Amino acid sequence: MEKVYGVPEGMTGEKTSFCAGCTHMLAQKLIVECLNEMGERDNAILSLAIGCSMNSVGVTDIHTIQASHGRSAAVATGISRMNPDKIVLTYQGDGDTMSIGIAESLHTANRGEKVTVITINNQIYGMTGGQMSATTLVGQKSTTGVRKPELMGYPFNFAEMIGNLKAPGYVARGALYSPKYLMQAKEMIRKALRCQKEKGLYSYVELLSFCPTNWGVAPKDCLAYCEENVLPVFPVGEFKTCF
Amino acid sequence: MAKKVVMQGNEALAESALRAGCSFFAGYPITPQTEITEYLAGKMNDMPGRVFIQGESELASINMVFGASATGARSMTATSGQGISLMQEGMSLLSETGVPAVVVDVQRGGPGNNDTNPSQADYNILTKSVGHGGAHAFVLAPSTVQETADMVYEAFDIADEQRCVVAIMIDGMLGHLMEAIELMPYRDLSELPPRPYTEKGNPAGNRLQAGWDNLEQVGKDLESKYEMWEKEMAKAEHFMTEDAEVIVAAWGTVARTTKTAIRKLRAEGKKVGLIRPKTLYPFPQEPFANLDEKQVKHILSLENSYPVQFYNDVKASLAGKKIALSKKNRGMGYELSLEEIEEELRRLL
Repeated sequence: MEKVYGVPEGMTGEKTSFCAGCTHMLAQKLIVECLNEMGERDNAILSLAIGCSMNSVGVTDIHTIQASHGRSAAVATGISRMNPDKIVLTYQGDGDTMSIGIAESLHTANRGEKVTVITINNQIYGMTGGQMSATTLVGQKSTTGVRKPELMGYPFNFAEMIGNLKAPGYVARGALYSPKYLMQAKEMIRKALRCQKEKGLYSYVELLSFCPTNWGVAPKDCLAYCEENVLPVFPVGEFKTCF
Repeated sequence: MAKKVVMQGNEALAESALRAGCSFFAGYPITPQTEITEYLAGKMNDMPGRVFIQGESELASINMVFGASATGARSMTATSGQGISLMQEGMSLLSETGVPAVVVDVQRGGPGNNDTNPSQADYNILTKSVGHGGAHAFVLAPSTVQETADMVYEAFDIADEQRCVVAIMIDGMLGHLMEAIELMPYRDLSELPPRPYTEKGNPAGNRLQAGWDNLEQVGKDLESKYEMWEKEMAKAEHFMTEDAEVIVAAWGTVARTTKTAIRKLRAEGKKVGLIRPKTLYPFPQEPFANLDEKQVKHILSLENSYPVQFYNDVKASLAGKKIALSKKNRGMGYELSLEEIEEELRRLL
């Protein structure tokens, strides 16, 4: 019988501390699959962020450098400039990319560094236990309050923002919600990596993720919750493409 | 003998770094170090295998250095005061992971937004603990343009061998001073010592994350390394100390001014000398601990900082000795002058 689905080569089987219902590992798998398909897994260097992102350390067989919180894009810049023949990625969360690391994120995009930035956007600080992040929705509860625009402004649309810059080659937002979204997200990651490899340009893929634990939403209800609440604020699609 | 060239301290430092094999530099403009960044901006991107980036901040710059160094490049950044504060997190990470880097501090005076005049105000922040966690940088303190060029050349080797951050502390006086110097030859980048932890992250596997298997061991290894530095790698210059009854403790440009005062007083037959630490961490305690109490009556600790910082290390090195210790200092961008130093020494002699 033909095997049509399985754990891709390059997933180590290492245990993680991701919660039940979390979609981080789906993103990891998509990244590994795309690198495998391109034959670039051994040639890739990952600058890994702090936050729930770092729970993924060791789950993939990708050369990994652990950066400080918010600094993975700067670290990736240093790696990429000195290793132009490598595929350089970052793997960050919304707090890392859009709050503490916003300067590094924006300037790496604006310089057009030859890197691919992957940001998991789950609208909350997961690792520290559910505090408000740059992408927390209006009215959404967090342990540091409910987002009220008059106090905290609005969720941060980073992908739309850098889609307007001249230097980036590919900017997109996908979701890890269901097979339909996963297929679309994988195509985005593939394009982002091709953009780096073939065009030598900066690419960004934001991946909307579930956080049942810190949202207080049961995993089975997450898809409906997101389609109703998250997607209107963070639409999936391509904001800039060099293809 | 190499031909002598007349160079400003900051530019001599930058040129010597290139000769030592510095192939990646990221920095952000700040007075009085900006000439280093400008000099390298004008050179590096035209040199094969070398990269210059102007970072968006000191925070970004030190992390770019981390990425470049972790994947094989001899890397450096340069800054001052506020920038050193912003680089603390990055220097802490570099130290924990054992990724080498050279960090230049052309100091400015005092805390806060402070003053850009020559100063020794970053003594504690660079010698006591780089960032959180108590890790140390190896700290070099030149006092002439020649020594600045020589020390930065050596700094890259120390950083690679000890897998640490090497900090070089100068100030605007040394950075902007023009002197005739000899430069070391360009090192062949392909002949630099191999850095096995780069290609696959670290020697143990493909992850560069300190303590993946045993974080406690990382801490123990750091402690042993610092104990070895303190025992074997501290350096000081003794200047006219053989028969000295009054000895000045000073570093960097203050030590340089002090030498002029000492020469003048020696011409009058006054028995005065200088101990000048060339490494600030590890601090050379022995030259002070080994002083003969019968010969040396007084130690005068001089520095350009309010409050005193260097003085506390001199005091600790003299613990238990029956030698008087006093201090004279200025700071916040005001410097000890030759006249002030001479007057203070006359008072003590």
